[in-house]
Amino acid sequence: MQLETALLIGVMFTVATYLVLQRSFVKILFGFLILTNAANFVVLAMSGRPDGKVAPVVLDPQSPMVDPLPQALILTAIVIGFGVAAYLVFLLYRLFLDQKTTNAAELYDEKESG
Amino acid sequence: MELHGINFLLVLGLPLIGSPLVALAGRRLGRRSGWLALAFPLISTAALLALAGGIGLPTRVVIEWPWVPSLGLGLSFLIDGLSIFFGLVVSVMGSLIVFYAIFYLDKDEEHQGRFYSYLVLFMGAMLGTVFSNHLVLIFIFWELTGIASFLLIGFWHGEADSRVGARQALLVTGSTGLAMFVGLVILHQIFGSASVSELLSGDLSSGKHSVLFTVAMLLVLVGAFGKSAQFPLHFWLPNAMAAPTPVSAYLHSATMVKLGVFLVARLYPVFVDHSWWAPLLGLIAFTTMALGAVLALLSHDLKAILAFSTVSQLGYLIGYYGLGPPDGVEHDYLHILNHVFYKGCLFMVVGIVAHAAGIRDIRQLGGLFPRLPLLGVTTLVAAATMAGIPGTTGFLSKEMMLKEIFEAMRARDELGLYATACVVLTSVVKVAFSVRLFANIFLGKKPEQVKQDFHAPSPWMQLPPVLLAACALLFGLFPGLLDAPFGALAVEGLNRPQHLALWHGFTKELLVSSLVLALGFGLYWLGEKTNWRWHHIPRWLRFDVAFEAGIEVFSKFTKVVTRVLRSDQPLDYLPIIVTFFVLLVGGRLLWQGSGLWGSLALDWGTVQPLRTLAAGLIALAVVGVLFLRRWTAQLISLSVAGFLTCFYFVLYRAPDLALTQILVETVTLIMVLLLLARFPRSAQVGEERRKPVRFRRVFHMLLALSVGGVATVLTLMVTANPHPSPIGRGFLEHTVELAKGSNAVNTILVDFRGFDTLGEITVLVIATLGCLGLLMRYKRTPEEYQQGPHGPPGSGAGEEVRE
Amino acid sequence: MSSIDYLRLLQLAAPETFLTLTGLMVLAVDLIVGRGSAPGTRIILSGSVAATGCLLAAGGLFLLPVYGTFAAGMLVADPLTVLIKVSLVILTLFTVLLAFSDAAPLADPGEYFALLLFACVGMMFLTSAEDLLMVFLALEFTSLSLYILAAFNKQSPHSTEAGIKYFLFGSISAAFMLFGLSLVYGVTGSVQLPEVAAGLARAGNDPLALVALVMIAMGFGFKVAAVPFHLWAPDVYQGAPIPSAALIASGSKVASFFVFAKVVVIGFGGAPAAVGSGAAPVWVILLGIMAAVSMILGNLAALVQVSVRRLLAFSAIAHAGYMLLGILAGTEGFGPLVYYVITYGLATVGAFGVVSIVQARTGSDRLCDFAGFHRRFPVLAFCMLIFMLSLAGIPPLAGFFGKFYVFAAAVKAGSLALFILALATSTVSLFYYLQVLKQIYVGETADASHWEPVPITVSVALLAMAFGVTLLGCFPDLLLNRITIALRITGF
Repeated sequence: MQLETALLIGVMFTVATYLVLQRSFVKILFGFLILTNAANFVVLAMSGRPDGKVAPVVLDPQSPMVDPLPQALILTAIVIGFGVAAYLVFLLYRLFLDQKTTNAAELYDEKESG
Repeated sequence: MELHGINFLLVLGLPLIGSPLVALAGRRLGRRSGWLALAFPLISTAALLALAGGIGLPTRVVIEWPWVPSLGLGLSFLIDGLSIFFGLVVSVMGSLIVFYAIFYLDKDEEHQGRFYSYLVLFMGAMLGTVFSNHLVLIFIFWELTGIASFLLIGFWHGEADSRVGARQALLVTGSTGLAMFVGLVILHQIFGSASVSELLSGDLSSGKHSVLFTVAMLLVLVGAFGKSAQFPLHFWLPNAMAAPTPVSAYLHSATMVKLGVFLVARLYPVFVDHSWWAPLLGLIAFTTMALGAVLALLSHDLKAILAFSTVSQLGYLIGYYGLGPPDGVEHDYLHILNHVFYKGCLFMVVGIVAHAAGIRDIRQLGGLFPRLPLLGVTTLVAAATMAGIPGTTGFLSKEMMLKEIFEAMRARDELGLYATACVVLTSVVKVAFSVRLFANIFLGKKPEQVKQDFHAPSPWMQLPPVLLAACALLFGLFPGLLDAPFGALAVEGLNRPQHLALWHGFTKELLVSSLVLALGFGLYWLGEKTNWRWHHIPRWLRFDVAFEAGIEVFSKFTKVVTRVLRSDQPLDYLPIIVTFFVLLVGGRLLWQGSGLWGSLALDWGTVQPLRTLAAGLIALAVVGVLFLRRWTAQLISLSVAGFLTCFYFVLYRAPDLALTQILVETVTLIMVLLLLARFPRSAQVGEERRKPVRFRRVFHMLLALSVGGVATVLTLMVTANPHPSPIGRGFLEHTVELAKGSNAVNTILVDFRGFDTLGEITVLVIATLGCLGLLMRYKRTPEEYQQGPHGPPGSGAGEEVRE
Repeated sequence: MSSIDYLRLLQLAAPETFLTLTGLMVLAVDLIVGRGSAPGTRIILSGSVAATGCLLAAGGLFLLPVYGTFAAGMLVADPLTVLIKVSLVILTLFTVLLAFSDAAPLADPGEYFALLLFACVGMMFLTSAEDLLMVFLALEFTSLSLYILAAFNKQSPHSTEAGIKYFLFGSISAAFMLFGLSLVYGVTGSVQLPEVAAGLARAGNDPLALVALVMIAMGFGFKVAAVPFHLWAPDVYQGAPIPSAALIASGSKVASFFVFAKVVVIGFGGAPAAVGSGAAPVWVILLGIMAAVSMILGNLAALVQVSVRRLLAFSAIAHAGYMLLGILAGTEGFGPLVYYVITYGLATVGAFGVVSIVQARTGSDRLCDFAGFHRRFPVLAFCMLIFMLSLAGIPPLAGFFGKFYVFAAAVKAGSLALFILALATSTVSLFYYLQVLKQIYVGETADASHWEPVPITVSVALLAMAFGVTLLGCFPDLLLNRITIALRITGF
């Protein structure tokens, strides 16, 4: 059990959810970035308590090591998360160029009035 | 078997294949397409007769072709007395109707090909239904008849009546058909066989006591009642009379509406000993019978009178099966045949009269006998059959019915009494409107309007009704003629041996019959005397109106539902999903209760100071994003959290992660910074001004907090009992020997799971492609160029900035 | 555990590799030859390369299938997955052919076609994954391609908007799904489905397993547009370029449902009878509710739609409900589900094809724009008739057998109430499908005779799909047999 990791995950999920529920595209973007990291932490927590263990680099077969698979998973997730985040950034930019707005609420206000 | 197969293909396959052919040929042939269509029912009749002769009745033959073996679904058809009887009714009536329609349809009527095509399709569907041996096939053909009838009723779709009638018919018969399907599927579940012949011949005693069996019976009966227009679903039939007359005569009196009767007869041996069978059929069918007769008396439109009398007669037929003893009924074929004779005939007569005089209201007709003597005699016979005058099949039918209910009255007291009352009442009323039908069309003075508009019908058109009336008379006078065919068609479990005779001596039934006739004439006299003033259908009996209103309400309801649920703001959707998640997962965790919390006994001893410090700092930086005002400040706070994450990874003994995180974090920071630089200040200012409603903010906060809470609890739960030997151990053990590398994360990525890494790279390629696409395609307008590198000013600041 | 045999990998993933290479070739061709030529030429050029690639890949998969497992379930090629892959490639092929008519929005045909192919590759990987990590990776792979495809039409603000909606929902669902997958790993210590199943059985009545399943269901529920994760669907179906919408509606659904079923059936212990994980009844109830609500909501909302694409979206939601019945039926429902989803995909792509024709000519996709279609294109109108009736489940079209097969499995698994609900809502659905047909056949119309003719590829594709739907309806065994055999070999 890693109490502090769990709490950290809680805080990150809270903030991320709150941001994602906002109207501002920038906030949504930030929320998304935090969410990605939070999800990574969840996976990280699965590898168990690192105390007294060494990194999964087999130098001395006798010493206990942390579970390497979650780390590999996170590595994948980080890369994918980055790709997705990059796309989101450009999508928002594009939306801004097309719609001249950075706020979702405004996007729909306009549509309804127009 | 081979020969039967070919014969049967001629019966059923030909109409189904022929239907589109008729439609195609119709464009060329125009009016003559009727003659082409006539070939199909004639061939079917001939083939059926040959088939009946070939199999040597009363045996039961199953013809089967494989169709979807993996579903156990075959094109399986059951040839026995019942199906041949109904098949003959369908195909012979089909021939007569098509012949009649050739003269009935106007010369300048468009789409003749389409009309006959539907008619032939309908006939094929009918034949399919009565011969199907597989429950699913029954359903398929059953619904196909409904669709064909929809097309035929709505044939003149220019008229509103037609459309409404067609829609009602489709909705009622279609949805009750689905109920029937459910019932059939349950039967299949109970008895493990979807084949009708196995259901009929197998030993079913095992499953009969379950509740499901009762449910199945009820659902099947709903289907039968819907199709056969039984109370309270009877309303669609009169409205379906908007169809052209040949269609009414064929579908809505002779054949399609009898499918319910057919289904009841088909499954009679399966259901008959259920204790609800008799009361249910008796109550509903006899109520329908009485109600239909009364409504017929209250109507003035010729077709409406006939339609309601059909409803009444269908109740009569179904009720008859309800009264039957478990070992089988005697005279069902007689009742059905009788109805086919007179009702088909009367419909065609009414069609001719309406055609000739241009009027369908019985109050405005009269004195047509001198003009249409042949038709007058025909109508006389048919009306006499309907009224049950001795010498017609109608008389026989009524006698046998009375005999049956007198027996039933002895066996089942209340039900028998109710049945007797209904039958007597119905018979009296039937006599009255039969007399009215004949007398008020053909006798009396001829109104002016009829004189002007009258034009004589083709004699050929009168041939089919004359034939039907002649049959009613012939078999009525010499009922012995029917003994042999009925004997051959008898089906085990459904029919008992029978004998018909014209004269049974002076019996109780004869006495009642005479009384009924006298009363019926009396009722007619009363009606004439009062000029039928009291004749209109009261509003509370107009079920069709209620049905339409129900549909209206339903459509409004769906509109409201859709409006409530369809918000155009996608960002309103997210809270819904999140709420769902919180309720589901959080609810589950709370529900789990104390046992769960026990496992979470917090172990403060495990808290390690350095990691805790790092975690606290990350949390602080993340929370900072919420409270900092400027975008750039928020971004910096976010990056701080990101870089602290690297440190945290190190503490977790994950150096590779830390390295990657640094790289990714840096690039992300630059990217987002560039994006923010492109956004004008005004946008940010505008955003700060635009604060969401307090209620919504609180709601979002609560949602966010619960998501966080759930996440924490879940993580704690999972890590509370670390898995003893996760798969990762395997990688550690094998990394050196197999992958020749000591860094397990590396070997996992490039060796053991090198494949994922390939995937990652592809994802990045796609992302790049997408980003490039988004960037490259934007062409700036000259004005935008003049506004400089920041693009146009954002409109985020709201009204004043934009203007 | 063994080291990696790259040759084997190449063999197993040959179709995927081939399609990826084709995608790159499309890009190259468009870049080298296409630049400077007229947009029409570029579409034909890159489109033909893409179509040929799909054809070859489908043919190769069909004729020379290679079976085997790579690295303990990361890439599984068995008869069943090959079957699904063939249908995926064929659906993509039709989508590519449809894109030929969508002339206006396709400013960059090369990229567009390449992305279609990449999306297809993603779905194929998704299909063959029996390893949760691969599932996640492939899902992201597919999703990202689809996000881009949805937002591809830069002339139309709706398209960008559709893209962002799809993206937001998708990425958040994906985050939850990653959470769910890591929970699974935490509980069972494995990411390979068979071992996950064993682990879950060991774990006994662990609420975490249920929570994990809920999170995974959220991810897949989003992909297949099941209520309550359906909210993106109407906007995306309406806003995205039509071929993209068609692929999202068909291929993505095929792959996602297949994998969802696989995860549930293999990973979570399969049929409701196998209460090994203890949590089984609860998730059955959960999926049951999702199915019921999807059926009701989808059908009701579709009734009042004016835009045909939105109508198709709501009908897709309803169909997702029917398909969930197949998942609920466990092992029994696997074959039915596969049949249903493939035939559904075929009919849907077809319907979208017809919509694209109308939209290209009238500029919108409202119901009333379809009036006169029958008079202008009688053959294509007939194709639409077949698609609509098949979607409504009218015999003897493929849709009927799909429904019949799935419903029968549901009854066998004991969900009678859902079966009745499904039947009832199917009746409702007939109403709105007929609405479309009514417009096409008897709608009062302005003159449609000036509509320009339909490109030959589109006609051919539509005819082929209509033919396929009819053929599979009249002779369902053509596909059913294959599925049954494949299932038997695979060991379901």
